[in-house]
Amino acid sequence: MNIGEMIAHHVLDHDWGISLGGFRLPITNHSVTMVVVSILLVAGMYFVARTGANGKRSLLTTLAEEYVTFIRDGIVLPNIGETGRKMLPYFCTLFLFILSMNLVGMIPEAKTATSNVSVTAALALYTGFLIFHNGIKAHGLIGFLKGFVPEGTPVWLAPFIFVLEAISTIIKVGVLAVRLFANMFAGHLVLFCLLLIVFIIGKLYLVGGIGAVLPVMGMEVFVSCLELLVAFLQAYVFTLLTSIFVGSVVQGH
Amino acid sequence: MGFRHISKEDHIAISSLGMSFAVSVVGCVLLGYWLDTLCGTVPLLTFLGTIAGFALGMYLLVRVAKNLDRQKKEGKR
Repeated sequence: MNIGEMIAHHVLDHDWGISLGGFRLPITNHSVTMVVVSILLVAGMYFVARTGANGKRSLLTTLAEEYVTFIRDGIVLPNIGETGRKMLPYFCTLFLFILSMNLVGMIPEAKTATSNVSVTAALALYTGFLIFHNGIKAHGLIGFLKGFVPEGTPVWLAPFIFVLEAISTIIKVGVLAVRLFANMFAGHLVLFCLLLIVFIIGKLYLVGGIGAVLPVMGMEVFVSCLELLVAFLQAYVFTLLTSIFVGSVVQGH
Repeated sequence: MGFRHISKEDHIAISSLGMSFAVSVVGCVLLGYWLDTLCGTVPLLTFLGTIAGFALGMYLLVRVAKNLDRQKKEGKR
């Protein structure tokens, strides 16, 4: 196995799916991780919610309350306003889902589903749906479409600007998907490539390879800490941007 | 500092300007290439997609710059 294959094996998704009567059911590392983490999250949150409903106080209940308050007062209400209260469960789920997916990749043998562009694109599509749904709900279809042309635009230029603004909304959603994917993918690639330095130097000169172990381990620890920060940061950025986009459509557009 | 007049929304718009530019160019090129292979007009639509993507990227860039300029003027008033 050459180095390129090793990197691809480590970073890319692997499909060991089954075929059922001509229908392909893809079971991949990322989809399994996603399903397992989702089940754990639903079960965990159900447990926390039930504990809270019984009137018992525990550390988990307090943590969950703090988390919801943070999403509500820090992200949803400042950017969307009172309309955002109805969407609070979605934002809480979105943040927790992305954060869990990002963090689970730090566990050895587990895979980061958010380093798969299909997963981030699906999440971004939900954001796109929220933007269009809330825009049409707040202003009506005509009002929403009118919002694509800024006030004071000359009439002859309006169709051109309309097309550009409509595409730029799609680009905004696309950037959201690429940002999360690129950050998570690049982080794991860097971690793995750092490890490979030891083997590459070792192949050229064995003592040099052994000598490179300690410095590379130091860098690995540093990049892993950075990855932890990025996991939280990207989950926050994705949720914040979703709320800002929805807010801009609901309030002003 | 000189960045006080910039809103949180615009900070994010500035930070994602480069990626917006890249996504618009790459997206339009890929769209052009896909249409090219569909219609058998290689490389006409890929070429047009490149130009359209570049124009779209520049439009996004100018829009953010104009927005910042307007906010700066409003802040000075």
